[in-house]
Parts: sequence; C-alpha cells; structure tokens
Amino acid sequence: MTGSKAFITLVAAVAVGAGAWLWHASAGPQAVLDLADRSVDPFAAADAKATVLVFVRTDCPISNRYAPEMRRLFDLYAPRDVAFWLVYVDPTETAAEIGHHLAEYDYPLPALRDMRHALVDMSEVAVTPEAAVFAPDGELIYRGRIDNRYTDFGKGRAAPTRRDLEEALDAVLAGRPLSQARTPAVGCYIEDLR
Amino acid sequence: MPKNLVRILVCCALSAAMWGGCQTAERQDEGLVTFNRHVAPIVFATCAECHRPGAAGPFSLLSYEDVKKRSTQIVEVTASGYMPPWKPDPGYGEFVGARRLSEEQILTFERWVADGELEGPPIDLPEPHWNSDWQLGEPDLVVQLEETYMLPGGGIDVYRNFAIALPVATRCYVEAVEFRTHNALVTHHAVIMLDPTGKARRHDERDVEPGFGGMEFGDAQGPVGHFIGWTPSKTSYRSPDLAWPLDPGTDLVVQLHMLPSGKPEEVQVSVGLFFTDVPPARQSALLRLSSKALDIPPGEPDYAVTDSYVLPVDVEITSVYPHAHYLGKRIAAFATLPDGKVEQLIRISEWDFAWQDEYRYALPVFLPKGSILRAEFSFDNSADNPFNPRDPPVRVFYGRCSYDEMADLTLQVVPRNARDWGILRRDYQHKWLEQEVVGLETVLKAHPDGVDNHHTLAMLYQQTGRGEEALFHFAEALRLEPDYAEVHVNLGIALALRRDLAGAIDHLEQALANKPGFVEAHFNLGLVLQLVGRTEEARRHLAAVVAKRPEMAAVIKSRLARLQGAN
Repeated sequence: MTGSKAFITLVAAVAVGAGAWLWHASAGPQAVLDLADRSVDPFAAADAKATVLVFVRTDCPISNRYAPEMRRLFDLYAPRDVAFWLVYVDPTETAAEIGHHLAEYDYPLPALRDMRHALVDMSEVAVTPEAAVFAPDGELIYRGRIDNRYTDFGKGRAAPTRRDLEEALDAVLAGRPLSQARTPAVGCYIEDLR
Repeated sequence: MPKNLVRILVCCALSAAMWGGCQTAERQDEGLVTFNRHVAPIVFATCAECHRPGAAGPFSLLSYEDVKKRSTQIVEVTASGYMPPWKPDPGYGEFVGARRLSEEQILTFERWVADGELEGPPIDLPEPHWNSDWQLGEPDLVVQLEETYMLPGGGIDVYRNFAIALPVATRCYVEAVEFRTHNALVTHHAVIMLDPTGKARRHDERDVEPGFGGMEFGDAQGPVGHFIGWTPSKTSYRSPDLAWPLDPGTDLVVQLHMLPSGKPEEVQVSVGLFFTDVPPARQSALLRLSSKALDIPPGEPDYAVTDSYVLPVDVEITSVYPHAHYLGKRIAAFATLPDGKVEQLIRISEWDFAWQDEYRYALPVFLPKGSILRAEFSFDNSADNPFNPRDPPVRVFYGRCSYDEMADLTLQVVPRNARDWGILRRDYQHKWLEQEVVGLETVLKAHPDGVDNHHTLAMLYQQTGRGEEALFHFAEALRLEPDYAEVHVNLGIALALRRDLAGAIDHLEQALANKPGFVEAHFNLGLVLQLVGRTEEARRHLAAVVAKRPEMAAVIKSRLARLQGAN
C-alpha cells in the first residue's frame, strides 16, 4: 500500500522535473537508507498500530530543541506499538555526521536518510521538525508540528499549550477521529535542500 | 520541485555562457544577482558576526552552501524584520550598533532566490570578517562563573543568577564592562548587577547547583546610574567620564537567560572590567518611567498604561532600556520640551521579550529643565498573542516573575551641570517611592498573603509619611505571622515616632520574646525605656547590644546624649 504511494510520487516527480530526476538517478529508486547505506522500508513493521516519521536535520536549531520532547514521546508510545523514525532530510549529511548527532542529542529513535525526499513528498512536510503519522493501511492521519511552542521564527511560548503529535497518537490508539489532522509547523525549509 | 529545476537549468546555461570572459561578466552585472557579488557582502557584514562557529547564531552563514541551504528562511526573516535582530523602529532615536537592512538589501535576497541562487565568479567573493576577541582590548580584570553550569537539554528557558567574587583590594573606577559567553548558542542575554551585601552569594550557596534560579537578583543592583546588559553582538563602549566606583567586597551578580538546545550544555562566561585611575567628572542617574498598577484582564488585546516625569534640571540622555514581559506589545517614549518641540526617544512596535536590550544613543539627547518625559506601554493578553504563556489567558498583575507583567522604561541621564545631580536625585526619589508603593499594593492585590510585602509596604508608607497606611500593613503582617520579630521591631519604631511609647515597648518586648538576643530590639527598646525614665532596664538592654556588637557603644552614647538634650 505505502509502496505504491511512494511510486506514484516518484512518477509525478519525473513528469514535472525530468532534469532534476536524472541528476540523482544513481541514488536508487527510493533512496531511503539507514546509516549503513541499506535500503529501508519504515512501514515494514507488521504489528505497528501507527508509524511516526519525524523529519529533522543535524543543523536545524528548532528541530534540535525538540530532541528531549521526541525522547519523551518515544518512551511513552514506543511500548504501545507505535513505530518511530527520525528522517534526516539533508542529502549532504553523511551517515557518520548523523550517527554523531544521534549520540549528541541522545536520540533513542532509529534514523533514516531520505536522500530523494520520497518520504518528504509522501508525508507532505515542508520544514524540520515536522511529524507525519501513518495508519497501518498507509493513510496519512496527521501531518504537522509536534506542539504549538513555536509560532514563527523566534516567536513562541515558554512552554507549549497544545501537544498536537501526542494528541494525534492518543486519538489513533483510541480509535478516535483527530480534531486537527493538519497543523502548520515552524522550522527550517526542506525545499532549500533540494 | 519546479524551483529546483529552474535553478539547475539556469546554472548550466550561465556556467557555460557567463563566466567565460569579462565582457559577458559585465552584462551579468546589470542582470542577475549572484551570491559572490551581491549577497555575500550583505551576509558577511550583517549576519556572520553571529552566524559563525562558536558565536550566537545557531548555524553558520559563511559560504555559498551555508546560505543556499537557508535561502527561503533568509528571505522570510529579513523581510519580516526578525533578522538581523533589532527592535527599535527607524526614525525614533539614533542608536549605537543599529543592525538594520535597507529595503535594497532585503530585495537583494529576494532577487537572488528568484534568479536561481547563482554563486557567481569566485573573484567577486569578499572575505568574511568579524571580531572574535575583546572589543576594547585586554581587560584589567577578567572573572568567570565560579563553577560551570550544566544547562539541561530540554524544558523551558532558564533564568539563573551567579554570584562572582571580584578580587579588588582598593576602590577602583570602572569605565567599561565587556561580557563574553563561552557557549553562545544557549546564552541568550545577560544582565550584570553588583551586590555589596553578600545576599546573592548566600542565595547561590543555598542552591545545590551553581547559581540560583529566577528573574530576581536577590538584593543586587546595577552600579548607581548604570544599567549593564548584554545581548549577542552588542557593541562595547568605554565611558571614562561616567566611570563608577567598585569597592572591595562587592560581588558581581550575572543573570543569564539561557535557551535549552536539545542536549545538555556547559555554560561559562567571562566578564571583563576596564578600570581608570581617575574618578569621574560627572555622574549619571537612572530614571524609570513605569506603571506598577498593572492589572490586565484575560483576553484584553490592547491594555494601555503611561507614565511621565518632569525633568527638574537640564540633562543629557545617554541610553534607554525598555522592559516588559511576554504580554508586552508596544513601548514608546518621547519628551515634550518647554517650547513644545517633541523629541522621540524610542519606539518598539513589536515588543519581543527575548530581544530586550539597552539602546545607547549615537549622540546624547539634550533635554532642558521642564521637559516632560512620557512613556507609553501596551499589552496583549489575548490568546492571539503567540508569546502569551497562558492558554486560556488569565488575569495578570504587575510583578517581577516572568508570568507577571512589567512596564518599565529606564533612561540613563547625565545632568548637564554636575551640581544638579543631587537635585535630580531628591526630586526623582519621590517618584520612585510612589512607584514602589503602587507596585507592592498591586502585588498584594494578587497575593494578599505576602507577609514580607506587607512589611516592606509598611516601611515605605512610614518613609513617605503615611502613618495610618503603615500601621495597617504592619498589622496585616503580624496577623499573618504573629511571631515575626523584625516586624515587631519596625512597628515599635513607628509607634515610638508617633509618641505611642507604651505600644512601642510592647512590640519591642514581643520581638525579644520571639527572637531572644535580637540586637535591634535591645537597642530600640533600650532607647525607648530611657525616654520613659525606666533607666535601669534601659541600661540592661543597651549593655546587651554592646556585649554582642562592641562597635555600637559609640552610637549608643551619642543617641543617649541626643535624648538627654531633647528632654
């Protein structure tokens, strides 16, 4: 199911920007890699009740500030069969740099490199940090901010008053509909990395 | 994706056609914007000072690749005015170190992106340059936090105060203070105060970690007539004519506002002091325009207050420091001169607590005696204020904690005539006391059970000659804490001054019952008993004072002589 979605995205990419696609053709059909350069399907876990992709880069200050919050959510929801992936979106960041970043920020989440932005396109995310929550059938249930702490660059509350990703996970696990399935996220633009 | 395609195509075409020879390069000048020729000079002059390794900016902007990776963000934040960070509105005061981009510079970023983010010929690329050393040369004294502080990786912003001993053996005159952080990424801003009382240090020692938390400094204050603050890339300055005295035994208290970065960070800072041998010829004073009656209803999007002060002498204004918390929306100040002319002092239309600063005038602003200083503040306590820490909004009062609110605008002024300093100080003292009284009344409205606030307010009323109010708040303090010995002593003094000597004796005795051996109680009780002719008891109490504090013997002798004379 999810595989076919990614396929559709890639076909569209070829149609819109043939030149751009050809530049990077050598990176592989999806180019979703782990830190050992092996191809990975983040949706492969059969028993996951939901799959969360959190898009980050090593040098984005806002996404770095969310490391403790991501750790908290991982500790809370990974035991409840939610699969988490940190998705690094800057194709120039090496596996070694990402490995160092994971250790530095004490991330317990497994990491992926989205070399061709197949996951970015599929998740409809625009910035780091931004989260996408997928149902087991591949439906994109939630896309947007982790919480409402930041409202613009340099603008934000001392502490969030609404934790959107947590609310989305609670709703998914309880089988409830979401009050807000899409929220605006504040952070570093992924488009600048293409 | 389409933008990406355009960029690649344009790039290929240009690399073949343009960089080949001089004639075509000139043609390119009129047309397309390149990084090396047009963008880099702006970035290096206005961004790289902070956006370089080890400096305050959270990422570097030193190369084509660095800037290209942030191009959308750069266009957005320069157009919105968020970067470079500079809050005062143009046309309202000319300040040292102003960081503003011209319309043309902002447009250059937009055009660069629209033209496909071209790099341009390497020969056009200027060298980035910045100052990474002490701006004023090697300081005479450099001190650091006595212990490195570990800032947690997560959670809310941290405000912490650190007491630092200053190893000076004799009085020094300080003409400049420069601040440097060793971890610029997380050090957002700093305020530097002095504490001759040791109170901040004791506070620091009681807290297990280095420093102590909160926005209050203990009893530390700035040097008389000075405010010392630091924000990233602040321009340092020497002011030898306004040097301030530093006496041995004084602690420096550094308050740091720190932003957790996502991982634990070591925080250390250096403070450099620059001395001069010459005592200053002139002395500055701080004038605070303020409203401490703030009581902001929840949901109120535009709550406005003002304050004003008529200058009793000719002054020059050297700097301005506006201050509000998260609900602050707009702050403006101006002076109306006796001839009706209006001098704009500052206006910040989009207040941002995180970017508060002291702004120094490029040229001191002269204001003649009789000029009216006026400050205007407005606050947004609606849910639409993105900084509002409360959702849903709640009623907010004046107070010093971050979730309280403040409306302060402090001006550093120098009387034109040095002899006028005393006149200004005495005149302003009345205003200051009134402000403090209003502030404590407001704080008590929010927290009626604040024993110490009742006590302090009683003392302020006592000082301003409003005896009935003083007695009321002494009584409130004792109702809340009947065994509070210090309150009994101060109430005893107040009653004695009102000639209620029996009442005074009663409270001073209660103070001793609550706190046996309390020197201040023995001293005052001794004098009052002497006054009512109970000399034997008086002698016993005064002897108890001298037994503990022998240096008080002379004071007691002179007070007794004065009582003798009065009788």
